[in-house]
Amino acid sequence: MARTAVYLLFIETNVVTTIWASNRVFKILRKHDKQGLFLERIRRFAQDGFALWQGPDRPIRAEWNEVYRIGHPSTLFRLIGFYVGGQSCFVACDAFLKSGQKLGREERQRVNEVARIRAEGDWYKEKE
Amino acid sequence: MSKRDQIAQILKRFDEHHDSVGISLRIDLASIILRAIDDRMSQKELAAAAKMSQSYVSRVVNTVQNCEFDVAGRLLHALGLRGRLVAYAPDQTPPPVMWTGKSANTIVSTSTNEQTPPKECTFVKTYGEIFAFDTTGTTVPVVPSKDIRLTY
Repeated sequence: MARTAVYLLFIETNVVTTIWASNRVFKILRKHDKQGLFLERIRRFAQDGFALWQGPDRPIRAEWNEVYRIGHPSTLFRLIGFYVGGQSCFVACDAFLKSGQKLGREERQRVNEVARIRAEGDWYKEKE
Repeated sequence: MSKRDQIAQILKRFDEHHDSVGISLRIDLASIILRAIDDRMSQKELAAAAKMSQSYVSRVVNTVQNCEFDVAGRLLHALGLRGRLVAYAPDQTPPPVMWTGKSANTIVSTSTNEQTPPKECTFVKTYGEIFAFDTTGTTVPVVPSKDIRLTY
């Protein structure tokens, strides 16, 4: 299986947490966040640093195996990824629209796949 | 157009839409609450102090809830803070969301570097962060251990 390439998500440099995203994430964001509401939120989270926004009752929450998800405020859209280098860098490998309040089997498998990518270091940063 | 340029274009359209200002204010309020409650109180304690439900505070923190000024004021008051709405032009650097508080100080830099930051700055220390403003009011990046020695 090919390693997952990730690309810098934002042009802005005034961020505390740098976000890298896979091709799949770019594609899903373009499809499901045409108005930019979700993107604006994560841009602000990145400027503040993800540490501020992360916690049990905060927008960035732990799933399992050191994989985290960021939720959309008004839909069941979720961005899935992990940290690299403390919390200075977040690698968003996948995103999906949940089918219900709880994760379904396929969604859990996708979280597991992100956990595998993190554990095996099966990803790399690509310059565009 | 590159992937990143397409994302930048979505954000540019968002910034130009009138709804973006309200959304930004919601995020500001959530950001202030999270900075202020860190290590001091839980969302549950804040909800009790502000006389509102914990689920409401959670929705505000998660930027889901659109709240009235009066409600935002109750939350800030419960945190021991005061609030003002600060407007700025789109081409200006946004001011920090939180720059008042018990630890605010106005001091003069003792920097040996005359360029960064300038010799005379106003420093405002908030919860864990230091912001510096030069005489024109422009924010100056600060690395306390490297650029300056702070004296109180």
